[in-house]
Amino acid sequence: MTRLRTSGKRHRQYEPGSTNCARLLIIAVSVILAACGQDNFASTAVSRSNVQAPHWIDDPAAGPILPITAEVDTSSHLVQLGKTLFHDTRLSADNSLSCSTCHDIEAGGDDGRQVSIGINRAEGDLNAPTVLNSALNFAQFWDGRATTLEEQAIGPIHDELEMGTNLPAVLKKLAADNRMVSAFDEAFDDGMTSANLLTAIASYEAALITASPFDHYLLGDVDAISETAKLGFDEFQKLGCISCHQGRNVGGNMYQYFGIMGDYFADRGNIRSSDFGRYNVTKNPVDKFKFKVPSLRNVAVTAPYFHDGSAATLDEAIAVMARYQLGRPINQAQVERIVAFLETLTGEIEDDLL
Amino acid sequence: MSGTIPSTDRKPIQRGWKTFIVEIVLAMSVLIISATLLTLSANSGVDRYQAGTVLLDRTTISNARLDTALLSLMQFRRVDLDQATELQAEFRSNLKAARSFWGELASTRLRRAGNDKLDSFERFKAHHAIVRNSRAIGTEMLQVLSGRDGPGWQQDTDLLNRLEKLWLTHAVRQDVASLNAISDAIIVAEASQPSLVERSEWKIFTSHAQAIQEHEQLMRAEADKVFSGLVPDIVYDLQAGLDETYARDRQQSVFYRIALFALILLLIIYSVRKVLQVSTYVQLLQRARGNLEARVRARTEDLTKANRALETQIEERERMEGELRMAQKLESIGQLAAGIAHEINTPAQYVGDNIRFLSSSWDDLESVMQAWETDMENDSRDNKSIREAWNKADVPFLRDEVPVALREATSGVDQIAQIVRAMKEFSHPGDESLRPIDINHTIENIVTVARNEWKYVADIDFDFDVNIPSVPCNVSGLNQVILNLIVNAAQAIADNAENGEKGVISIQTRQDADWVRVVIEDNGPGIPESIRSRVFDPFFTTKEVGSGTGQGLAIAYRIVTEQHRGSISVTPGSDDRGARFTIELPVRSDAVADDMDAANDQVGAADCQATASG
Repeated sequence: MTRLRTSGKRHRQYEPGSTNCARLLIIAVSVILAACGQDNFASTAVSRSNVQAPHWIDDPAAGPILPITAEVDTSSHLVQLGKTLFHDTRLSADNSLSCSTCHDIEAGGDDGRQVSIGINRAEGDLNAPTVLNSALNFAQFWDGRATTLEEQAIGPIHDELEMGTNLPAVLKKLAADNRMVSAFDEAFDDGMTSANLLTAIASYEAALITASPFDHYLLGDVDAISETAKLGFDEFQKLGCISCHQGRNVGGNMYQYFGIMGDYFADRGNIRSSDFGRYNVTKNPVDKFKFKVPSLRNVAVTAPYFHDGSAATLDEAIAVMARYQLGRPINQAQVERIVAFLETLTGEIEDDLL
Repeated sequence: MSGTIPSTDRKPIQRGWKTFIVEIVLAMSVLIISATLLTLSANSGVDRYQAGTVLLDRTTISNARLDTALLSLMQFRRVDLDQATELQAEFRSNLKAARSFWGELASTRLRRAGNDKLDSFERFKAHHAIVRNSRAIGTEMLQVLSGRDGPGWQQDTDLLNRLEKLWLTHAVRQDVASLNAISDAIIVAEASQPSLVERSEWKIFTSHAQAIQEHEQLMRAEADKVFSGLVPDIVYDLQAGLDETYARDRQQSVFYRIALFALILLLIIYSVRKVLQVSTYVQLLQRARGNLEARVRARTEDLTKANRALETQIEERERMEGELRMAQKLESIGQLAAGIAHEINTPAQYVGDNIRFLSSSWDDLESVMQAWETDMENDSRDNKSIREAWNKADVPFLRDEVPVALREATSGVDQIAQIVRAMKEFSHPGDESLRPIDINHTIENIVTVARNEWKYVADIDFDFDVNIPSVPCNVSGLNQVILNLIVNAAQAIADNAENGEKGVISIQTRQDADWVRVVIEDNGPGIPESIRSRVFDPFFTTKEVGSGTGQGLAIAYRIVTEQHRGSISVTPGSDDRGARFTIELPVRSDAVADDMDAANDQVGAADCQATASG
């Protein structure tokens, strides 16, 4: 198992423990705050006297965040073929890019850039989402235009700014490679086809599930995460982040407007069509500025943040979220606690998937 | 004749083939039709109906689950968006299945309604999250506001308590009226408590109250869309379509099944009829076979009888032919007889004349000899009586004439003997066997015998090849043939010779390799081409009725071709005048050789006998 790390040098690395001293001081405050918090946002104001393990700790399926439990078969021909293809630059027009160029598995499943760079150094206008745990998302892309990983995989291959080619051309190149042909033959009855290529990649991606310390915590290992992180999780719920970032993937199961309590895009300026989000798919005006709520798993290692990659750090991102989504102020202590919590969502990955 | 018999035989056979082919074609058609009917009747659409119904049931259930999930979310109790997402995915997969089942076009309504529902559900989720969040934050803010010391605390508390009560009421009722009450209360509070308005918590609270106001309405609108979606109606329509199709398919299937049964029934009836027919045929055949055997026996008897009769007839015919041939021969001989008599008569006359002359001469000489005797008895010296007698008798004349007379008589006798010999040879009845003969000599004999027939009308011109070998012949047969031809030639010339000019009959013998050719040609009127091919037919004659049997040339033909294995033909003579008969006889052929050997043995034996008797 490899602990995922951040990619890119220009982003701050989170060093677990560096802020522990500061955080310990805050624990007391947190306890009080937690007492006033709600473990269930739907409940009416019922005050709590103590911080305690969430009542759903005995029943992981009852909580707002569900642990990852499923074991993934990583050694099958199919997954290994998918891995090879995922790292194969022949999937791009000029053989310069592979899927992994923008989705570096070891570095959080993304490229650490604000926007991704395609063939011929072309800049896209969206931040590359992580490929990790993407199988747990209810839809793919920021605007959710793909409902399956197969549908997603074909997108970047055909995108002129990304890989700029097409499946027949890719297959032609791959067919010249005997090892690739035999790998396809091992994985599929009908050998090398466009559909099989996408299936293989999707199978590999579906195996990229990263269990994290927080999952262990949810499954009953109360020492799996720090006290600060527990406070951070409390804060996360109390502030309202949990409204959208919930479920097995801590997000990734709904769309939400960006800028509910404030006009984010007016403040940011320079509105592009990619900022319309879901509207680009449904063409329904009510879906403007609405995006898929991203998973927060491995969020600590997938900076920068948001669809526009505008937030370079988690602190920034949390501040933006509090202001525009929750419509409430947030202090640095809260931010740091939440960061501590989010860091426990950084998972591990099987070595043979790298 | 030979062409029509097979064709009448073939007709029923052809009809049989045609019937056979027609039956095969019919059988194939019946097979194809029944196979088609079987397939059509089997394809009652049950599978499709079941698959479609299951799909629609799933869609209905999925739709209901989605509605239930929405209801549950609206109650803000147990929120599990993962579960909702799964239900959405399940619903989406049903839409996909519907697309592959009904096709792009027929599933359009369902997919559009379904996708609208999913989109509304998604929008509902977004608004729901906002409302949910704002409620929590609003509650939190109210608590913070009411739990903090400050100026106007009591009033604030009353206001806040009232707001909190309204807030709770709305949380329970979730209706527009309680929400409006909150708005009113906020307006009242802001009007009466400016200090409250300045607090940041109040601002957060009011902004969230506003967010609730906004998004709860939108959420409800989306929920209404989800609930009032057309999916159940479309499912109902699709199910009705399936039912209708199924009913129609069933009806068709029943129809095809009935048709199939009818066809099978027809086939059974047809088969039974055929079997009955065949058994009838078999019985008829068996009966007919019995009859046939009897008939064959009878027919065999008839045939045997007929055969015997035919044999008798053939024997009779052969006998009659033999008789006819003999009659013809006798006819020839009869014809010749007068001539021959004449021929014999002439030498006989002058033999007689000479003998009479000799007799008178002898009388004269007798007187001389008596005188001689008298003189001798008288012993007269002067020989007066002799001299008288001598002179009287004209002995010198006698001495000159008697030898002549003797010679002439001898020659006459010889001539008669020759004719008689020729006659003898000619009329020799002989047998059928072949003996080597000298053709030239035979022809000379015949010419001699028939002399009276030709000598007044024609001259014979012989052109014999003296070197020709002996030819195996049946003398009697060959005599008949050549005599016939010579007599015919003479008659032909005679018929034509009105001016009394004599014609010419030329007879030529030649050897040509293994064949000996005898050509008898006359310069008479010839045979018209129209009848030339028929001259050898039996009973064909150009002579007046009664003057000929019409058998001559037919018999000649048979003698030459059958007895001698030779050939006889007629062509116009040289200079296209007259007729030329050509007989060709094998000098020695394999078939003849055996006969020849046998003949030679006989000849040898005959020679021995002749020598012995000689």
